[in-house]
Amino acid sequence: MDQFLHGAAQLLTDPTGLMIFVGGLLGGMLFGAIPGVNMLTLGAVILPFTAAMTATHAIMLYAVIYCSGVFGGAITAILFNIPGSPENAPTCFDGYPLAQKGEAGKAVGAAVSCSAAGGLASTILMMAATPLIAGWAVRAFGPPEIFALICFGLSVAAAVGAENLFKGWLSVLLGLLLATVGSDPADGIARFSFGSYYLLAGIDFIPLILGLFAVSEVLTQGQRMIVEGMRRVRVGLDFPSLAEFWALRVTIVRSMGLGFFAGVLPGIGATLAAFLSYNEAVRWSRHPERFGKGELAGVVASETANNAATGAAMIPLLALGLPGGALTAMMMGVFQLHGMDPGPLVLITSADLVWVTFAAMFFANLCILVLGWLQTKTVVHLLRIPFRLLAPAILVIATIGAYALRNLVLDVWVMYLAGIAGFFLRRSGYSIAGIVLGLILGQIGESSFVKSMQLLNYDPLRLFTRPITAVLLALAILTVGYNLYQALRTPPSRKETARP
Amino acid sequence: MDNSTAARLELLIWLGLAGLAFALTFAFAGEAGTYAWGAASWPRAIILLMALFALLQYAARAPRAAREPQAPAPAAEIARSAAALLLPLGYVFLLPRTGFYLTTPVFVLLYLLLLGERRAAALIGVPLGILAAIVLVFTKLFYVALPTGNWPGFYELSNAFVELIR
Repeated sequence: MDQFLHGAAQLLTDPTGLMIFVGGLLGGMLFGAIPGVNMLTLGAVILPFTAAMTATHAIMLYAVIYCSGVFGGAITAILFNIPGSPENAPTCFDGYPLAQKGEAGKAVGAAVSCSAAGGLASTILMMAATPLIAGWAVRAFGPPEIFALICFGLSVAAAVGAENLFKGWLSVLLGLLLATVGSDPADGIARFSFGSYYLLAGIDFIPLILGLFAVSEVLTQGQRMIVEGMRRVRVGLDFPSLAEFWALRVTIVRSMGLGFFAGVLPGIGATLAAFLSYNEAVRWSRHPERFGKGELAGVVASETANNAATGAAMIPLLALGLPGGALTAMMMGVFQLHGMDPGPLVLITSADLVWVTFAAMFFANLCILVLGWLQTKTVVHLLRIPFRLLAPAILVIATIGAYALRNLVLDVWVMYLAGIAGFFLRRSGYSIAGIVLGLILGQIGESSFVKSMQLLNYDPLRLFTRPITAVLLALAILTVGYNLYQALRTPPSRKETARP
Repeated sequence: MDNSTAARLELLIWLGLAGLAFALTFAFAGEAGTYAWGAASWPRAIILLMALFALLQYAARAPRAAREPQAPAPAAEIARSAAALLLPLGYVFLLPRTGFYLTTPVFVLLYLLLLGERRAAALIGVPLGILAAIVLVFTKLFYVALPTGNWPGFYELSNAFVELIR
């Protein structure tokens, strides 16, 4: 509690920090709410510029964007059936039908309140759990355990955002392959560098992220606009009543628990949380047939869980140095830009940074409640700005973001080529999130595998002699095996209708 | 393109990518290092898994009912869709040659036209507004050195513009 108060005091008495907090809060909400961009676009665009900030300000900014952006993505999911990010995808199932029925305000209001509730509960749990997990991780986690943890995270990463399991795995494997470009972690031998000096350090993460998320989103939306033209949405501004919230209390509490549990797992985070929670809401409902047609409980389940996962996703990042999703992967990049390695020691060596970040996340969730209510009444009108006016601005800002990193036009080429590749991969049902998770986890995964093999005398079976490693690898193998069995066994005709 | 042709093409792309990447690993497979399994072992494992999953995907693909033949998209629509993909590439090509400050407003204007914007106020206001915002935030506030071009005339114009705004 003292550390939290100290972190809160530091945040509230630092004018620059407060400005960054407010900027991150509004920016996350706005980018989450505007069609075609999301918190990842904002995170990717500002990444090069965080080098000029202190590490505390930069990490705090991303934590605030994470909280407000996950919520902000619900707006586009509800109004346009465009999830701001994969974690808002289940919100579309019932949010969009509610908007079509003229109850957009009710759906957005429920999303606001439940996002704030889920985020606050998760932040409180995170503050209590992260130091404990970090203390344990220092003693228990060596390279074999990290490798096993990454395998465990990757084992379900294939289920995120892709059309089917195989496309999910191919996305993850493409990311893993891209991660091998550069130098090998053991001896620095050049791989796939084609003699280029710039590729020796690997494909830069920032242009790739900008391309895969920001550029491919603009290209996708632009294409849709050319083919289908602009669409207008009827917007209702009613907020849900207290009686409606009370009727959904069990769903809210269950979704908080599920969200937090899923958020702790590296490589999973908010997306799986939202899907799991939505499925459980359907399972426990007295009227499961209403889901998918505009059931408020569907929006509540998804939005409570994905925000509950934001705080929880910080635990593997801060305690173990493992990003749980694309934005936490960017946070990892911020740590590296400042010459720091996230992991158990961060909690000891940079306690101020950690507690200011925790305090900022707590206040961000409180602010979501207030600003979210205002947003219900206002931002829905902002969404009437035509996307064709925003698209070129996003491309230009992304261009500057990619170029400014190393003053290299090569990075801008990488960004646009990644954007076009992302455009076609998305159209074909592949997962951009899967590629990014593979890219990020691949670098850590190979490094820890190489160290493990050198440590264990090149005998992979000795991985199973370490209890944590054995359990995590067994769970990973079981998960992959079960998912593959299900995917191969389910008749193709049922696969088409399996989704809620 | 029908469903099975698309699936076959997708399989060929993945296998082609895997084959190419595997062939490229021979360039560094023999290099000596402290790691006994060598620098190529990890990428090769990924490549083999990639080929395996591409084959599994092809084997488990869902046969869809034959769809009603769709009317081909109008030529203008196809041309605009292709331009939406190619225009940014042209922008990147010109960026180091004609400079950021002169190329960007033209790129923004063309992109607006491509997406269907026809109002004169928007066509003039948005490119100038974006340029003004960028100059204010990135050039004056963050001191980001943006490309000034290397083609004769463009370089001099860009530098004169930068001098003017500073």
